[in-house]
Amino acid sequence: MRLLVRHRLRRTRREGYVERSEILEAEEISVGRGSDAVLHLSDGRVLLHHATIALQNGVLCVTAEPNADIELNGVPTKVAELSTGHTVTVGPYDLVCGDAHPECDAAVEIELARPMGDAETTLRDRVRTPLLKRRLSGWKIGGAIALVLLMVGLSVPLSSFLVTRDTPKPAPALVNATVSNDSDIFRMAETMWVTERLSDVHGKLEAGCQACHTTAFAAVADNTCVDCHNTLTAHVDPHASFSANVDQSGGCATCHQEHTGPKGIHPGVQVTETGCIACHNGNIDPGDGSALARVASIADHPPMTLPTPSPNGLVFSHASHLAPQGKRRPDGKRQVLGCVDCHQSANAARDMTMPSFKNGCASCHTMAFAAEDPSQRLPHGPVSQLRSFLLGFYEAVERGEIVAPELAVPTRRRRPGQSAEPVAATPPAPLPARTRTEQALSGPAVKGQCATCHALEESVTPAEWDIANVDFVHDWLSSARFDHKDHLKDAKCGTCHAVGKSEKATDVAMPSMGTCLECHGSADDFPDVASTCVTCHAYHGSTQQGAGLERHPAFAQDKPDQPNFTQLADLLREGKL
Amino acid sequence: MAVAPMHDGFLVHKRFRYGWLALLLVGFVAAAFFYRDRLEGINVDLVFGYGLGGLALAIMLLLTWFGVRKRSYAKGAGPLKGWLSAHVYLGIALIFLVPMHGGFVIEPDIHGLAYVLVLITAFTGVLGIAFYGLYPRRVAANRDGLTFDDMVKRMAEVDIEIRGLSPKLSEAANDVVRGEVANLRIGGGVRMLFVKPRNRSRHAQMALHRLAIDNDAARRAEALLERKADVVDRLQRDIQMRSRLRVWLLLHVPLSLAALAVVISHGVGMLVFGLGSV
Repeated sequence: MRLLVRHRLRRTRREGYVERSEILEAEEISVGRGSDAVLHLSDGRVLLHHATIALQNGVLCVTAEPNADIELNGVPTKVAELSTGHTVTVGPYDLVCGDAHPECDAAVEIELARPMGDAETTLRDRVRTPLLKRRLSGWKIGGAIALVLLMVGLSVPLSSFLVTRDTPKPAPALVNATVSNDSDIFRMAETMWVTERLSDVHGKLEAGCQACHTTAFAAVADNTCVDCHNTLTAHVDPHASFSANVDQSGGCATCHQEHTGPKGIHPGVQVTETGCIACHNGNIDPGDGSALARVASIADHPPMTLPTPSPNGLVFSHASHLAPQGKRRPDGKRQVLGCVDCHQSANAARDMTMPSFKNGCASCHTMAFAAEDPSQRLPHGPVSQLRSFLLGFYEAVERGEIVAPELAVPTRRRRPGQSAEPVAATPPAPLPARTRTEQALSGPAVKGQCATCHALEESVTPAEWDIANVDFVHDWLSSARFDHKDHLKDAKCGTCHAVGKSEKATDVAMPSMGTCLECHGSADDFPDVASTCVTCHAYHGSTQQGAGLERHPAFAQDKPDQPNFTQLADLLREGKL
Repeated sequence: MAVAPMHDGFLVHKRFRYGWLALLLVGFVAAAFFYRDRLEGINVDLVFGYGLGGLALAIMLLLTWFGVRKRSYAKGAGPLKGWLSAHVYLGIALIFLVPMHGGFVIEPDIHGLAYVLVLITAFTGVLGIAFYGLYPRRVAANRDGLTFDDMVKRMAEVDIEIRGLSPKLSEAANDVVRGEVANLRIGGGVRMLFVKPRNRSRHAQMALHRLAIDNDAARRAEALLERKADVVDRLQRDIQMRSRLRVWLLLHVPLSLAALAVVISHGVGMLVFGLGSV
């Protein structure tokens, strides 16, 4: 069929219409919103396939699709037969059947009779989609945030080098290093940049990051360390023939890594033994004739070379003093003695003191000597001093200034069969003071008392005896650091010092290396007390550390050709190393 | 002969090419990380600090470039789907690479901030995979071929028709119908991201049903309201799902840009404060 369609686009002012015409030609003309519809009606209220127009027995018929509704002259229907003037409603459109055109089978006029009016506008106002607004852009929001973060983030590292801060660098001595003021805004910002934690000392330097990071885009130079740490001495003499074997390539940072925690800068377990063993392999001659000891590992540690104790001039038995039943005190009571009654820690618990007579021995060994005055004490001194003291004492007795207390009347012991009768008291004739002095000096009251503790030797003095020279070993571990306090957390004195059976003063109570190795060893064997060379031995001779190689005979500080770190720094700067 | 499927998701793009690449990368770095103490002849700190850090930054820049690349569908190297596939798998790889770069240490400083921002961005990305795997299909199914405007127009049509029915409705029924038109709200703010909003058209339809008026106009109005309520449901589901996608984008993109900014400052700082000092 051929169908003439007049689309009424809009009304004119003169009761007419602006129209667009088309002739559709098909067996059945489909009506719908879909693009495949022959008669296309674009309004959304029309279904994709809404109806079909066809000629049935010469009559124009509009048939609705099963899911669609149409109306014929306002009456809902499914099939509408049209004659001229009839109106079919398809969605918002009115199809009016017009007069047949000579060239066509039928004609319709189509008008959008019910354009979407206020209903749609009202509805659109009710739909709120604030999160879907176009102006909300993740890139704009993110870009703004990123810009701020970037400016804040970059300001610290850049300002650290671009802004000159008026705070001075720490004075070139560790003890004078100035401590920071935490309210400094630079410092507060810089703390945000500290990777992990600084060591507790370096974290407080007033100059902040600049104290060590002096140049941008460059690693911290060794000179920077040496500027402050100038009291350290070198491990080996850089001019010695074998110094080339000491690996200096990594400089300070080879062992000292900063930003690894409060204690991190002090190399501990993180320093491997290989660095030390590389030289201490027994093959290197330091030049003074003594080969470096060969050490393969801590388990293979050579025996400790303890100082040889000379005869120390004392008569002393640890066993007797530590007797479990105790020692009798002057007041007659017994006291069980312990190590700390005589020995106290010294040098930051590295050593234990030898007791002095006054502070140790004298509490029991009173040195009373005379019946005339038991409160009188012999002085603790050389024989010559004793003689003059005794002479003075007996002269005072002679003058009657010192009077012996009343003694009980001596009685003769009663023998069986005899009566106990008092013996007629016959006071001995007083001897001259000089004679009494010599008698006392060679008698048990003086010589005997001295000999209790001291070795006596023959002498050309009038007394013909003298006290042997007393000489202790004060430093048993000259090449190692040690802390009694640390060790006493898990051990007692007797764990290492076997003095319970020591009868002689010359007995060495130092433990052997084997005793150390019962607890110390490699990280694999002793994870709790993992020990490397630097656990006990210092690499640098340092006056700060109190113990270490500065006292090692091979690297003594008083070696004139041993430069300290300040000199080393100069050599480094001059490129001579 | 096997026929290639019409549509492969971005996850299986080119038979997981970028997935395997990311897995290989993470596996290689993880192996190096766990055996780092036995690696001889290389500076582990330097490799995992500057090396892995640089690699991670390059990956981050590539991931960010996806935001540019996706705006020009056909331009640039490779298909966009490949870019998305690489974006997803390399982003997941960052979740493993960054902790190894940082030695699994997070401190409250700018480095820790960079660490956390990158990880959060990557994790929101993983959430995004789930979102984009689920919602676009659901949005399409929910719309059933209609556009957003179509749905609004469909409701408007109901409104117009109900307006026409008005003279034939009883006072009670008319109140319900007019109230529905006046009170209907669709969509909304943050709340509707999580909670299904109430459907006033459904309420009105049920109210009309409870009136039990037995005439054609009322039955017609009820049927119209039911049709409208269905559309309202769809529209609200549509807005909810699209808003969720949008909010995800509003989180993921700013987070990624912030992460990139902090990572760049971190990197510049590390170079400025001590290039090669490890």
